Amino acid sequence: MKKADKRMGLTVGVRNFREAEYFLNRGADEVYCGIPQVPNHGVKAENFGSLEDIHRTIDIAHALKKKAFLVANDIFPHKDFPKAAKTAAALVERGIDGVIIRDMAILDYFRKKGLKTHFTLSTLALCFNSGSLGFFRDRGISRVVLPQQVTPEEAKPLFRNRKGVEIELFCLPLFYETNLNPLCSMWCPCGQEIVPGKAPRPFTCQSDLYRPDGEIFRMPMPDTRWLLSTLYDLYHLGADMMKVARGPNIEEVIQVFNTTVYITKLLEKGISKELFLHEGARAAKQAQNYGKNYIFSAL
Amino acid sequence: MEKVLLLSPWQAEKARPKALAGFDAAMTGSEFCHNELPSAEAAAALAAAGGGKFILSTPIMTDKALGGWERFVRKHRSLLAEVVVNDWGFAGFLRTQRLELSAGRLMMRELALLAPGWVKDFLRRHGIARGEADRPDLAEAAKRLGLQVSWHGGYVFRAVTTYCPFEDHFKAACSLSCAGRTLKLGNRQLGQDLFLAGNAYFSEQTTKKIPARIYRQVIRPAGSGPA
Repeated sequence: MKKADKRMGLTVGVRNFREAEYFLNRGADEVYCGIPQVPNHGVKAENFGSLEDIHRTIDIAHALKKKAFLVANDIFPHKDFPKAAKTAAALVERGIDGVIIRDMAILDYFRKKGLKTHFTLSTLALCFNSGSLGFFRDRGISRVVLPQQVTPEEAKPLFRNRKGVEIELFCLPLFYETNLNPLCSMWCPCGQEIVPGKAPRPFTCQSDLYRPDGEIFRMPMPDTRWLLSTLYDLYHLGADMMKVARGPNIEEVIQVFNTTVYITKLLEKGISKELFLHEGARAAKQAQNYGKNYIFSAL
Repeated sequence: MEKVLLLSPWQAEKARPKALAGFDAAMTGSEFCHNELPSAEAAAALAAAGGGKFILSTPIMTDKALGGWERFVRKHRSLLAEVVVNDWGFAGFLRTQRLELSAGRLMMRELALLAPGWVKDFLRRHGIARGEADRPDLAEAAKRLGLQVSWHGGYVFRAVTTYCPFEDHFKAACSLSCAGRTLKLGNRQLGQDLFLAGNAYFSEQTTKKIPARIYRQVIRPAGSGPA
């Protein structure tokens, strides 16, 4: 039996205080929250409705000796810088534990304005190599969310050269995107706001495409076994955090969260890779295997 | 306006001087796949065919691939007229090589959205003077940033994967089975066909019009795919 390296933290995206309370009481170490005043990569339904709700989330996280983060993982229009910096500064003052960002310009702006906090680099910034990691670390990044597409072999130098930067993973068998998200301009349900009663836009990357001979083509992606194997190896390289993304459909987020907790515990038990692949596949079978469910439902 | 001939690494290996007649330079490598590192033969063939120098396109890359691309740049530095860069980390390395640089089509998509003041500072620090564009809005953004525009006509980049669609695997060292192949894909959503070349998807540009005030036009050989 392979000995587990260490406990991996669990961070969960939430949309309101009730969700934060729910996940923090069931094993989440951190939650992250978006608000419309600060641009972030999500549909409106994934954001908190009020700052007061975020304040309550900070309070419950700290009461449980856990953390709450602000997500600001989009590219900011320049005109939004002052308002975003003011809001972020007020939340840091109120106790938020860090900010998740993608845009280096807003990061520099935050820092010029004296905002001192923990900064996580969103997966959307596409940090694929240790040179890029150095570029982001030099600008104040303390944690990097690894792009889902980096294999363990490719990730080794990133882990080796991280110099104190934490590395966060998606629970790959439950959340994987075949194309690099920030560079994709095909159809995706996240590309438009949710309209109740209207079917969300389908993923082009998961739809039938047609070859000239009429045969169906689907954009290929790795299978669950491969994704589990990758997750196992990345964990044993020393990943610090596992992530459950926000989603508009709470039943799905809860299901993904529960499965992620189970898969994380399997890793932490130090079981063999073979057993992990077997058990992990059983657990992942019932969970989502691509993107998110954009049928809205609230807790 | 300069004219540049865009060749895949395997086309570059077979480049003959007459192929470059009418062009100011050749461009090879890849902006999308880190496995499409040109060979020493390709570098030699282009140098012989194109007046001694060529432009190297580079993609977003992992550490494993980055080593190979760095070695290529160091070894062929004197043959490189310019490097097209898409990776933040590789841009840092290239800055130390004092080469002429152009922001690639992927990097331009980020730079076009980021705050102009920050971008201009980044461009200045890295010595990036040009920008590759395949959409009119990107060409305009490049101009606003003070970059000379390198215009790629014909196709627009739509998405890129690292999971090889041709070989159905993630292996870092591939067998280049995509070489020279383009797969046309009909679909019922986008209103236009997609074209898969290497690990990237493209669609056709909706206009043939070349934007005003561009520095150079990047042209593919007749019958070549979009990458």
